Amino acid sequence: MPALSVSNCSNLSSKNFIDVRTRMLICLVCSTGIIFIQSPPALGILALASLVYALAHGRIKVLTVAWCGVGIIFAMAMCCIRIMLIFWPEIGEMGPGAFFNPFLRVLILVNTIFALAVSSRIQDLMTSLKTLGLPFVIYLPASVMIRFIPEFINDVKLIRESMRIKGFNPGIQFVTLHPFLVVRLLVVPLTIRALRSADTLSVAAELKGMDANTRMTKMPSPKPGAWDIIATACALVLTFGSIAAEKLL
Amino acid sequence: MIEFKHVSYTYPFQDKPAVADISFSVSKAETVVCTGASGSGKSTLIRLINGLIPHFHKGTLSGRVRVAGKTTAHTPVKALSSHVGTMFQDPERQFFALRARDELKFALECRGQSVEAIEKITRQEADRFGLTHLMDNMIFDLSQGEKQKIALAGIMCIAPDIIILDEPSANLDPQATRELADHLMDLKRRGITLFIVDHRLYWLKNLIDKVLVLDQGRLACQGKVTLLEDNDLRKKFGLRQPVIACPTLPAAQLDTHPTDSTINGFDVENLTFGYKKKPLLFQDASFQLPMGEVIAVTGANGTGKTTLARLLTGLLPFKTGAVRINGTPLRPKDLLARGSIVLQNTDHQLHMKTVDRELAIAARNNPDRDNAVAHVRARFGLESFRLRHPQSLSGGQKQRLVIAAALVKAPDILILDEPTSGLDGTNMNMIAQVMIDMAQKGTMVLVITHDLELMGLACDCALAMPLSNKEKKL
Amino acid sequence: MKLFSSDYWAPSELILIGTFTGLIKISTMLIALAGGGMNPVTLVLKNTVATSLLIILVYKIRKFGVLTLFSVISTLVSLLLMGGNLMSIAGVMISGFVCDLFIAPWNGFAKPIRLILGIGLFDFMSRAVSLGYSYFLYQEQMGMFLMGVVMVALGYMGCLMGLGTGIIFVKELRHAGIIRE
Repeated sequence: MPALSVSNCSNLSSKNFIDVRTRMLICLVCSTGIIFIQSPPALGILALASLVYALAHGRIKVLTVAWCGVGIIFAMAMCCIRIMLIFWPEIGEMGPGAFFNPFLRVLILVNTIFALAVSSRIQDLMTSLKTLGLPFVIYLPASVMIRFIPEFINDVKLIRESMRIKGFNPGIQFVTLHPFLVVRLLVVPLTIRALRSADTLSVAAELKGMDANTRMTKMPSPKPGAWDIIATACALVLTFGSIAAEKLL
Repeated sequence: MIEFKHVSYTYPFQDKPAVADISFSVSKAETVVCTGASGSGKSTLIRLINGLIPHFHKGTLSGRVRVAGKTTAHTPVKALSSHVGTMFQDPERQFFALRARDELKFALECRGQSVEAIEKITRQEADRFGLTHLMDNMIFDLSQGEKQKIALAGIMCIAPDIIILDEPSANLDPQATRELADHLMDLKRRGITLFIVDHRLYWLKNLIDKVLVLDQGRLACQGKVTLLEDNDLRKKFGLRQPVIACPTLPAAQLDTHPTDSTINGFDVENLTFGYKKKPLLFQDASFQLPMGEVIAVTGANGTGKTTLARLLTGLLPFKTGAVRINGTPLRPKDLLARGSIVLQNTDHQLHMKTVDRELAIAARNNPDRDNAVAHVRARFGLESFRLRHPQSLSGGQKQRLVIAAALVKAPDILILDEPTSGLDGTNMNMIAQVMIDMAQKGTMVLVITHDLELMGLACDCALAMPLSNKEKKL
Repeated sequence: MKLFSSDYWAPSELILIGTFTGLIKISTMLIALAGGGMNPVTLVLKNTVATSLLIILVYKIRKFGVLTLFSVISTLVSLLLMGGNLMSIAGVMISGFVCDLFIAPWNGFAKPIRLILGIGLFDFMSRAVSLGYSYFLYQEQMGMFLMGVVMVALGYMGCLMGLGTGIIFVKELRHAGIIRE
């Protein structure tokens, strides 16, 4: 892939005041905990806390687009359910109350996922993977998967250019009207590239001295910082506190 | 250091041996260049030296290969890898990491070295290769020359005795090639044995101690570099020139405002373009390119050659500017319909199940498609491959197929992006002839290339990048 | 456990699993982006493509544990990139293991029909798990859950088509000489 420019990555900043493992944990705790919470006030507090958490990572524009997306999906869902209720009234009610809790849960999910997605650059994910202390059989394929993501995205771009040169316009209309042609023109070359890339990388692995007995150097895991502790504590207290309060009251 | 004794090898599922009865030896700190036509067995030789044959590729091996005192058939690849480092033609394909720093560390991490040792060694090699300022960059953002340095530095972190380089100059501009030659000279002085496989020979003349010429799996001849001065020998084995002068080509007209709309040419006026969040690559650039000529687009990596190709074929819309062919203004949609571009990697351009279908789909908008397809099939020697899957063809055959697919569209503009990268002399001459023929038919042929031999053979003028902006107008 | 022992897997197999997991993620994401996430055609298409690619992976690595490892890697990287929930993560990993157990007996990995049925089951179970999660997410509004069921069912039709196209894909790759018996 020819370089168009070389950028100095140390100038790029990301809001990485919370370690990726902490963000993963927060996401796991919240996404699992919310299905046990049925009280709207509790969900509302969690939604507010997750909103603050998401906003702390910047990228307000992207977050706004994500919320608008959620809003549109819910609006569409309400329309579809209204139609369904005509034929099948037993499935539920139409009032806003019935949508409130699901909406709050989805909002919490969006906020916690957003914080994870925007604050990790793909190259940092590989570093994060090393600090997780995973066994080799999980670390190697996971790092290969992350390594190939930018390459496949570039391959798709180049294959699409080749399609356009041949007179195809790979947009929404083309994908909807000619799905199997999309497979033939886009997916087949991409798969063949992937197979060849995997073969070449396997050869490189052998030449770098990798074999079944490889023991990778263990990278030191960074200690949790103050923000990691605060964020984790808030997530655990709010989530499990809400569940406990609901069960007890 | 390397010793081959009557070595023959046949790949699995193949009838013919890839190499037969090869015998030669390479001493410590010697630099050997192995060359030959495509399919002559050079890659097989590489695999025999680094132990991929027989441990990874299996197959049938006879004879003996010894590397750094070890018989490769009895030594696992991991053990051999401490003595032999291999750099691929496209170094990016052998990278495991996304960041330069992580890539340098990777091989050491695989060997379980301590964190402190890894830091020390990688810092040392990064300094040696002048890569310290690139350590935090994404691998994919680096130029080809920088990627090669990362690959070499990564290999040197293991401190092998032998380094194998597979077509190292294939994707490099002349400046990067000179830098690579300097680094290799430095490695040679440090006592590293170098085994270089390359078609381009001119840049190696100060390095070479011995030349091996392969032909159809056999060692046709071996000797000093003066061997390559024999014209008959080079012609017989499809080799390139050992010495070339930089071709002097007239410049394509820059910075002129086309005033006559009936001028027979391709006119670009006030072209401005830049990628999002990056500086402008072109700013108010104006130039005129003659139809019916072969134009070399030259310049260092990162100056916008491929971007220009995309703009001129309508793949990218320009921010401002106008394009005309013979006075007729064209939009990007029109450029797409009238232009054809052959990209660097053939795998991105082959979509169909058979060669025939590949040509048919490329010709679908050509009113005379049947004749066009029959003509290119004959022209490019694809008749016997009609029902073959395009991905089962060799590299040179695939290159012929993608060029054929580009021509079958009957384009007014044909752009080729590094079409001779990694090709032998015979294939390079074939591509040069195709370009000349297309130009004679009135097509404007633009070739983005670092290949000085190709430029000398086929090109009528040159467009040097970066393009000058308004302030530099004559 | 032998599955997670490095002696059991060759580095080339691990690399292939990682490559294909990435390929499946990228292809499905790009098809959804290109055609729209709510577009029924792209919904079917992306599942067809994902299943076809999974068939190729399992065809190339016919070993007990391939589906388990695939689901572990897929969920781990998804968790890193886009987060996840414990129920779905555990559910998908268990689905992978159960389907490996389904395929394995009587040299099942050497039989194409068992591979196809195993992958079909894996797709079914992993979708059932995600539907289970959405049941709890939309527990107050069954209508939304039922809409999810319709979309997942549509997606599963794509998976069933992918079982067929996957075989065609494998045949083509053998014709191209890219994969061999």
